[in-house]
Amino acid sequence: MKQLFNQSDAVNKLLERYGVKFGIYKNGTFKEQLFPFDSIPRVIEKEEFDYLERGLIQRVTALNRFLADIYGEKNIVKDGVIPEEFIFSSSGYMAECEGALPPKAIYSHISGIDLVQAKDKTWYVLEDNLRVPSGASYPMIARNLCRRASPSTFHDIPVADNRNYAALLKEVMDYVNTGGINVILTPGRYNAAYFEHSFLAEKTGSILATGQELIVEDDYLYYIGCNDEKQKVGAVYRRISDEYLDPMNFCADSVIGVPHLYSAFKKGNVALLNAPGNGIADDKGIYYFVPKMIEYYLNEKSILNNAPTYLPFYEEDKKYVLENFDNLVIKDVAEAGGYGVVFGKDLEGQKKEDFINLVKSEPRRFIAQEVIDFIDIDIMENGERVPRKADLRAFVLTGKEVKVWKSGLTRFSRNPDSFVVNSSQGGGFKDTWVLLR
Amino acid sequence: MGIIALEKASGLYWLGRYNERVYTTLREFFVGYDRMIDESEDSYKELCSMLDIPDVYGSKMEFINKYPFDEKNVDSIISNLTRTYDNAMVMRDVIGTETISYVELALSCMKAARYSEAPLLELQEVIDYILAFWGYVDDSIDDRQIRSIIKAGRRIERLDLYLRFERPVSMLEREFAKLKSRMELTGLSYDKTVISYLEQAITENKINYSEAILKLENIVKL
Amino acid sequence: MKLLRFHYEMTYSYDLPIREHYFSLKCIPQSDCRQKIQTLDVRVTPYQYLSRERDAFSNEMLIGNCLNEHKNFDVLVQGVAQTGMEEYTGNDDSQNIIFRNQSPYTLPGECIREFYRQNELPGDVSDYERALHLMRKLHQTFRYEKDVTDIYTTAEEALQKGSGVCQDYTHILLSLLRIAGIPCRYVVGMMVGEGLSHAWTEVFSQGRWYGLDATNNLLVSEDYVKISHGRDYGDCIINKGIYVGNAVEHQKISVVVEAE
Repeated sequence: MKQLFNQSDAVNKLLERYGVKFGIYKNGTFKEQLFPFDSIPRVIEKEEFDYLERGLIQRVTALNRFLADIYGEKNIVKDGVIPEEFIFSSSGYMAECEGALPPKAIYSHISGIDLVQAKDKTWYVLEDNLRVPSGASYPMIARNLCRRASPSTFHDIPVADNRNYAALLKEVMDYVNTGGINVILTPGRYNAAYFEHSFLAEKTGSILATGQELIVEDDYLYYIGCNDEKQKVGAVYRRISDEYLDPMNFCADSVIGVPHLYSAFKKGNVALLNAPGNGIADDKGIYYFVPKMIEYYLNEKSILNNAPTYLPFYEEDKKYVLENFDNLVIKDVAEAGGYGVVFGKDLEGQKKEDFINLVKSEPRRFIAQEVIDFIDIDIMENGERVPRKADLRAFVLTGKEVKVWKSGLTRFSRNPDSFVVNSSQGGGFKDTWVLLR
Repeated sequence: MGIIALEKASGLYWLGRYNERVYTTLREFFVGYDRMIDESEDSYKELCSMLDIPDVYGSKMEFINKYPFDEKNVDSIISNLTRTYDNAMVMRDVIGTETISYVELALSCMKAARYSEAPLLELQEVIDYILAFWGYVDDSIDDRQIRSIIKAGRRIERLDLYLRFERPVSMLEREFAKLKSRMELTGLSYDKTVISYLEQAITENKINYSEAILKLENIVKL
Repeated sequence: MKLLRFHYEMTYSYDLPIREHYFSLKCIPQSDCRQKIQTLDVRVTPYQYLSRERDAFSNEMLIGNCLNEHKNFDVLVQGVAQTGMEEYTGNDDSQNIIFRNQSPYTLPGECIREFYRQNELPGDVSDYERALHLMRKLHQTFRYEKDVTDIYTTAEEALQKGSGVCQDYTHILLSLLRIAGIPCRYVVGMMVGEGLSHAWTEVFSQGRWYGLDATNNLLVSEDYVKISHGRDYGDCIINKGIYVGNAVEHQKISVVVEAE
């Protein structure tokens, strides 16, 4: 393994060669940045991964059941398990999706579940991402390059090969495909994850398209060629968020979507991965209810733990949050990507008072969680090993079966004092090794 | 492989054109640089006018330092290489990561050359990567139409530049022949009268250079 | 019972040609237990692709496009409806949970909450009576006035302004009813004597949906033809369209409903 660590620079150079970057807007201009890679992997033992795998399959299965229920019969609300105001007044709930069952009844085909491991080795789920989770391409390509840089490491250590991600994704696309080609729909090259869109298109043999290259006619979706010829599309792995997907059904201002795409989907003529409407299931407020959901739909106890979470919506919880404000991390349910996260202890004076008042006046907007002191993972910095906070995004793919990718995206914070690991906030990434024995 | 969208065809075509522009102007820069070593007058001005770019340079040294490397100047070689890169990176699903990597390498090499004490040596590497790119295109892209659209861009740009440089008719003849056969393989609709116009002009050795350039620029609408 | 002949026409003209025009129209009245659509004639010109579908609340829609350049776009819906068969419509789905929760246009603020506190009907009365009471109170307070509000105005904003049009009356009443937890929905339709489309409220009480026209402080009678319903205005937009072209749009809508 040592040999690999010494090759950190070489691997980063290769990553540069292959254009492994993400886009970022700084002062209003678009820049591409290399996503810094650290060659010390996160290693997950076989038994540990078996446990995570069981828990993730259970969780995603329940979340898919939940989505079908909410846009269908709504039994979980009728039975009083989740208060209705958490669903139908939420910005994640899309009334347009009522009664539109996706092909094979799958809503979340690609789920990114964010986990951390506490110092006592307990894993906690921090967040479910069921809309357009990104990041799988990075460890996938990094592994390829690490194997080049240090073949002996992988000869000696039995690490599950993670380069099958594209094959897993293609399997899911093919399974839900309603007849036609597979397309990855991108907002365009000025999107932060454009590299990933294009890379996954290449590796799954899909066509990478922008909205302008697609058209809905006669209730079907077509890809348009340069001589006006048309090819039917059967599955769209869309990397555009719901609001912008179809200006005729969602946000009318969208210029990156495809008009009437959602109509073709509702008629069963094209599959959308992930299905629109998933925002209601990965809402930070709904997160609180996921263990209850698992019990409700599957009649099982949740295998994975949620971080201890409080909803100021409930009087009792509000009281706790206000009393223990300094020990909690408070999250705005509408924000993502590490934004809208506030550590109680970091606020002082007027700012703190204002924030507390905001929580009091808009309790539904926030959740509060105990700060989990998660384990550090070493990174190499100037030739030395130094500890940094890191999380793990596990990828769960739902097609004919629910499968957990035997790897994941481990993101670390480059700042030693920070718990925030998002790439948009300057973090780096690591490979995630799942040991085979 | 199925059909190619207009945006894809356009990207492939301009990828070919800009890549060729970088290649041929770099070679021309090499020749010009060599000439400038021995002379005191400003022959770079001639180069500017041949390339049809504004002469914004105060001296030959400034030209040598800026023409290849000035990212703020839209006519510099690096600007053209950046355009090559911009067109390449949106073609990943069509031409593949490995092919694109040669453009990445050329660009990062170009950036490094700027700070080099012997830039021509590094610029030689840029040329090497460009040639490796073309080699990889031939080696790895199975779809003939895709290959042909990139190469049509390359051929059009080459002939365009040779016309600007007023190269001897024998050279033009060779480049034209390659372009003509390539265009037929692209599956694109293009203006065939331009082909017959050029054919006649070259065979009869009666070339109106500016008219020929104008026609060539409009052979295909992408 | 009554037979009403309805004629709904939208004409759009553009000073410059537009193209790549996509549209989605919710303008087709449907039969239910209050009204029976006896004849129906729908014409859209021009179009290249036209199809029917039902939205999330079972409203009939026409979707389509016209990619070629055009300077006019016309939609005509005409027919005969038999109305007043019942005073209510039955409960045909399990979406009442949705309709009793606030939606984007109806989210209450302090103004609506205060109005509710002052006008809430105490005691053991039916939801229908509560709704009637709130409608009357609203009608006393809120003034009908054009050009004060627009299609983006929410219930809270409208009540703050104190005046508005049928859309605003409906939104405010919906917001109040939802505070009380009563399922209610936004309805778009036509009525005798009104030259434009109209909006009113349907409220759910004792297993049935009743129509309340807060703008006119009336119960919805046999003079009304219903087109669509949803949570609020956003679900019932009659013509949603996008196109390419830098043209000035001129819109003309004419609605005529009269007894046969």
